[in-house]
Amino acid sequence: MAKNNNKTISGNRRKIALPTFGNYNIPFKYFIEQAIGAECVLPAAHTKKTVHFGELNSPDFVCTPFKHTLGSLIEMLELGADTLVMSGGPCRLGFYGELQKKILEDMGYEFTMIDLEWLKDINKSEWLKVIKSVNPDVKVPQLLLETTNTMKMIKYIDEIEELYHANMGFEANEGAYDKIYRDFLFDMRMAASGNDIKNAYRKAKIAMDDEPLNKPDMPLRVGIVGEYYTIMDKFSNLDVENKLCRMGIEVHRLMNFSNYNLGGSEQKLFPAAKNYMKFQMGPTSATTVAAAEKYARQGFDGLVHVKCFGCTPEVDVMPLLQKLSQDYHIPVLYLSYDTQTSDTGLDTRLEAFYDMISLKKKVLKN
Amino acid sequence: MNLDFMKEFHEYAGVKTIGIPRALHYYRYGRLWLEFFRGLGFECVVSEPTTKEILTNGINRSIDEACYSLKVYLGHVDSLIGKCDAVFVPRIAGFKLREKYCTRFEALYDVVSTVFADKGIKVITLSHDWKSENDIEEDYIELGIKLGKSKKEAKKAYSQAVKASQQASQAEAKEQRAILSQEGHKLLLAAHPYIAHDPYIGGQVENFLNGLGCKVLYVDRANTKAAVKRSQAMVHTLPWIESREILGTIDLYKNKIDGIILMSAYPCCPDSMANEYILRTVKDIPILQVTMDVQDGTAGLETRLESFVDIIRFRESGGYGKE
Repeated sequence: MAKNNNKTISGNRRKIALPTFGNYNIPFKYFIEQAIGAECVLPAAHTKKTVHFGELNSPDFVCTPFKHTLGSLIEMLELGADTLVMSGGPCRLGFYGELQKKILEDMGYEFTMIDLEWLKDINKSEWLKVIKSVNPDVKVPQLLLETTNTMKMIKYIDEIEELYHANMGFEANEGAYDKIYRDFLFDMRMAASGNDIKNAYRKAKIAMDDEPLNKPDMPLRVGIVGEYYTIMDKFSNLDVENKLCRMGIEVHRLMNFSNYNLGGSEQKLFPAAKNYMKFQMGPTSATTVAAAEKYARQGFDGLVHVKCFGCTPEVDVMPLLQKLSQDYHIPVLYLSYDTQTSDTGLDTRLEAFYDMISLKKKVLKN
Repeated sequence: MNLDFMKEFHEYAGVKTIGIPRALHYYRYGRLWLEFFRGLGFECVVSEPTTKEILTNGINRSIDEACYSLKVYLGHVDSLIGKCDAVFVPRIAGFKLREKYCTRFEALYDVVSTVFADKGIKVITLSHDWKSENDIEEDYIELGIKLGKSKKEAKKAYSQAVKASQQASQAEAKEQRAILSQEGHKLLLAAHPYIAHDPYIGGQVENFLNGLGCKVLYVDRANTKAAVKRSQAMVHTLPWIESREILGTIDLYKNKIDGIILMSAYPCCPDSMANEYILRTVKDIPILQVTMDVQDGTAGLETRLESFVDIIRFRESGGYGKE
């Protein structure tokens, strides 16, 4: 691209990295490259080594996303990133950035950390200063336009993902949905303008709508609820959604970036969760409980509760889900993830869960 | 008046004795609560100090992954069933964005009322977090009104309770200051108050260290306001007030004490990160990190404390670390 040519040659564009987080590294890349005009380091696929790095340098019983993101940051520093972006949040997540910075500095890395938690302290008008610290030549109109495009991209990705998980288990031609989904993510990764984003979305949406399905009248439906990071990051949850889909289940998940961060689901859904909670119980509790109750009301066959080990808010939600399970007679599978990378145990549990809900459905039908 | 208020007003009618679990916030606000409720003319029942039986009942009531402190708390609530008309489970979640308690305190009321729903106990509560617009005093007064007292009575009871609890904590702080100027080995038990002061958890550490001739200092008996201020210069985004107090107190006491015992319950949410930060930033003083979990027998703990004290003595007599 012409606009940053001189800088690419001299090589002083900032290399920015965000730790692996589901599919959202793609919109982040778009935002960094198109809106800010810096370079983005995309993480390589998460591997056992990533987790190992993270585990080795993390405190013992911190929640698992800390270990995953730290491992990912280390890998990206090795890839040449010089500016790291870490998210802020209302629970332990709020302290991630500062502690990870400390750990990485102790390890001897040199970098700049942009901790989004700090943005809570400054005025929105000062956010531009933070962006200008990354690229002083940033143009505000372009920044605003491309920020909207990034939001659109996130919404499209979430929508296509939703469609993918709802229908993937019933495809007539094996692997067709996978291919469309992979192509879609590739197109998004390559997108350089708002039009590219729209076209990629249209292409994927049409292809998915055209794809023949062998869907029974009453398919098995499972809702996934739970903790923010683990539920969205495929490597962290050992791809539990795809595993369920492949068994021939329609999988639904309310928790995603569009609903939670852009849609403000926590505030919006709190009244819906009032049957079970009187006060706000933590960062994701209302979304978890309200989604679980919604699925139970709609007659879903089961719920899967996904969380990382030691997630305080989600552990506190578990008694509520137990009560909900009794009230609506809906089975709940509780999955707690740590840095385990073998999925055999998970497979066994999912198979048993599948057997149980499919048998229940058969008995109830007759 | 909103609907919730009226509902609670009816629910709370007929409450004469109030049960207070001796766990979590009790070690911070217990005196205030006792004075407040007694000032309003209620009888208070505080659960017995933690025993093995209480702990076992708590474990049976809780999710496996919940922290040790919550298990203890649920045990205390369980022990109060049948001894009072209602149990007081507050939701005091914090005061500012970076001065809050662990998310568990946010959820405490809903967890307790869900877990004990089958027992049909009444739970009275008070909610205050960093998003609240009003002062915590108004929340106490509202609780008093819900309990059927007049606003004036509630206000009076609250101000007397604050006065009494402040006096008591000032006396304790004075005691600690006296210890600081005394001879002998002084160790700071850097832990949350509900860990440090629980006789079943922190109590055994104090007893054992006293037996070894050491004096134990506590974080909540230091100048906590100054400690929080100190911590603001050291770390910016640390969200928890109790972790800030620990960090700040370590900085305040660093030159006056001989060692620090960092004690936490497994898997404590704030400590999992704050302790790592402390270990990485506080360098020039011996630190022992102890994690407590549901387990019997204190032999392992005693060995570690004993060797820690040995190290401190060795260091003082010219051993390593003092070149």
